[in-house]
Amino acid sequence: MLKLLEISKTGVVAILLHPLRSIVTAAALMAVLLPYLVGLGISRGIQRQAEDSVRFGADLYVTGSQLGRLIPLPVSAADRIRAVEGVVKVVPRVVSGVVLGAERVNAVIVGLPSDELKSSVTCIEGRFFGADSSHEIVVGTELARRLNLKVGDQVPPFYRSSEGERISMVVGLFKSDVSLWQSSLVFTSFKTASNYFDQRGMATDLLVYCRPGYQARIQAAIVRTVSIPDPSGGNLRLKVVPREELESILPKGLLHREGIFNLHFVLAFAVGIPILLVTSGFGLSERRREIGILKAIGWQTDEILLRSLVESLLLSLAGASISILLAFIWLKLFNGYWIASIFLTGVDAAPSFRVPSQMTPVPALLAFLFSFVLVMSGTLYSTWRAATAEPMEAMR
Amino acid sequence: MAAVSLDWVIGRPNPSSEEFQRLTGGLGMGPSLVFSRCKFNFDPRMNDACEEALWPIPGGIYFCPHHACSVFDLLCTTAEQDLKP
Repeated sequence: MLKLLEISKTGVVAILLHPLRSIVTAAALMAVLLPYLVGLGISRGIQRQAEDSVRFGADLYVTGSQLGRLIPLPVSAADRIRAVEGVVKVVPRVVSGVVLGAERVNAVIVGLPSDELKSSVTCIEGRFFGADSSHEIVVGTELARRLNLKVGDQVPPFYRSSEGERISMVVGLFKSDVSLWQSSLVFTSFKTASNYFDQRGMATDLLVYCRPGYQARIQAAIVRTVSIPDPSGGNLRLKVVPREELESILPKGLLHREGIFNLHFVLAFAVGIPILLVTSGFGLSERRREIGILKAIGWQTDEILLRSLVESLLLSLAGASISILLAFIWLKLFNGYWIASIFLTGVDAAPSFRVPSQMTPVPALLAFLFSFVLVMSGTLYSTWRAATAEPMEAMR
Repeated sequence: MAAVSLDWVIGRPNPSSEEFQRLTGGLGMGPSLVFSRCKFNFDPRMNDACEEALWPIPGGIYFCPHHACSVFDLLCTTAEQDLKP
């Protein structure tokens, strides 16, 4: 046991013996791990906010459906749904995209009846929009920064309406730490939003709040019994999305992260192995000579491999730890500067809102595991080749 | 480990997020902040699949800039509800 410990200590010495090699190996590890950890951190942050969105939203979302596509439905449908037993309230909502300003900035307009709003909230600086069709708006932080809007500013008409176009007044700004999705929001009354799109009496969706235990029955009742006439003479088909269905589409863990994000990093890890192979063994004739000398003074192949294993373990531990620390600093202190614009759509290099992120133990352990596999794959073969060669040959 | 622990401590649930979601009735679920091209990636409540999945070419979801390199892949919901009486 003592002998094993002594051999392990020589692994530490080996790291200090070639400081440049150790630094290059750790830097190569960090180059691969850092964006991966930052990406996973942002992903976990979005997931937490998405869970809030599902948990604190409505119980059911009702929209129209035509030829497999979601379409708006008349606000009058809300009265028919209110008549279903167990329904607490039904709120019509307008959600749609719009392009603002000469810079053509994309924004999301959300319109809700003003009587649904609480009088005092902490997530807004300024105040809420007033009574319906007052053309008062609350805007998100990213939008306010891009269009240089402040409370009290006026926004010239950006829409065409049969009832005429009016100037909108900014009466409030969302706070930067509220939510990811507030950043490009124009939050206004239902009637103002309907006016912006010149489609009065229509809602993008109806938010249905149910008494506990009634949700499934209400969902079935809406689909079976509520009929809304459509212009073609038939009935508009309704689509009802319950909270549980939304929960089910959220990724459930690291293994569910699909797509090109993972593919990029699989490639990065694959490329990392030959890089580490070069930095940690193949190119170093001194390292071969060193192993040759150890063999010449009586070291066995397994002892040399153990020494290499300890060396790799410490290097990967250092690389992973520094990567985790840098990822934490990048996300928390620098608010994901630049990298947030790669992983989130519609964000500038310097986000004007708090980028959601969370470092969890699993990615930290994965980072260590990946780096250990990378370094081991890079060093083991070269060490084994040098260790199995004749000492004379290795020292040459 | 210290960084992960510190993040856990400072990253506790944000009450403003709850207030915002109650206020808007639940808004946003994906990694997109705008509606510009893919509503699904902003909020699957607005569209049950990527609009580019079938147009301009089938399988267009893989060319949708909102999905390529996405850190947060949402699964498409069922295209049509089929509740039998």
